[in-house]
Amino acid sequence: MPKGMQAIYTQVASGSASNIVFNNIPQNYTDLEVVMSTRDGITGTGSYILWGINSSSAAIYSGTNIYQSIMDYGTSVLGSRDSNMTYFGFARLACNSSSGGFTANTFSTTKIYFPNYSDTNFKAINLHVSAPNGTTASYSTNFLANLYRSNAPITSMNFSAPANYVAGSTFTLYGISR
Amino acid sequence: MHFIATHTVTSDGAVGANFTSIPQTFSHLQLRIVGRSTLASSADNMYCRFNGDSNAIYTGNSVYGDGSSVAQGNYMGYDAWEIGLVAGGNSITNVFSAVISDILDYSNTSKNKTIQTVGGYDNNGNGQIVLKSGLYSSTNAITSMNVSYPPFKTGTRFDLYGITSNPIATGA
Repeated sequence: MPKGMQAIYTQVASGSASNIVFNNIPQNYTDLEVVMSTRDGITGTGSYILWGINSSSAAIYSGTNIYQSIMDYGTSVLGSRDSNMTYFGFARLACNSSSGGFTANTFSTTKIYFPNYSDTNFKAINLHVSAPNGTTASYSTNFLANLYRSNAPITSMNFSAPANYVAGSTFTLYGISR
Repeated sequence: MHFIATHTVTSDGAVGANFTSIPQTFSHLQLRIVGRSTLASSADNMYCRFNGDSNAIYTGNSVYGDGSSVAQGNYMGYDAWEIGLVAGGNSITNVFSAVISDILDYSNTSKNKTIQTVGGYDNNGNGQIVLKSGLYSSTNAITSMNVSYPPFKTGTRFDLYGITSNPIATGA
């Protein structure tokens, strides 16, 4: 296996799925990274990807968040936190541009880093989301530290949107080895 | 992204990584840290010196939050680069920080060295997240890095990667 970063799986949305799943994640890398370019088909000003690990719905998901969102919260930079959740829910998507939403053809960018995903400790996760908008003051940027309180290796993950992902949304899982 | 070197802490309280003879063949460096300190604290800043340089020429800015509030900070005239936060010994058992730092143009002898870091940890909704910029006011190529503080927990890992910018096509 070459050392460094290499793509394991890539999925491209066709417009007919609202849930993207990576199954059978190889356990022979050191870390994982997910890079997503997403846009949701829902009409509105923004929504969230709810995402989970190993199909677990136990209350073992949590996060600490810094975010900036002009549309929702003015010009302030704010914080939020969640504990004992049954999923992760901070990954903001760019949404359909109707009704004052996001600019057409604009997709969110998300990077999620999963160190030590295959070991038997809790899983610390680092996430950065940017949901830009080209014409109006409606966008957000999030930085999060997440925790998945499970000792089980990560073998699958899923990313669920409130409506179908717009065609062309991409999801790539990278393995990082050393 | 190409692997260069790694260091894993094998005993509680040990110092961090010491990377020497860093290849000068990449465009940028990326340091990934999965860490926890052994100090009785919620979190601790990590510090690193480039090229063994202890002159007071390290500066930086940060935005950070604990989930209930967000603040900013800066430092000037430090004798080491303030990397970012690592989870402290008072964190939940088995909680480590995930920190990624990009060191741009590390071998360019015409530029002072700039760094960006994003990292943090979570304790079931009670953690911290930090976005930092850093400046090492030296045009010397970075050939070594020494992370010397805080004392680290067993299992803390430092991975150094090189990033190339060699194009696969001209784009013209």
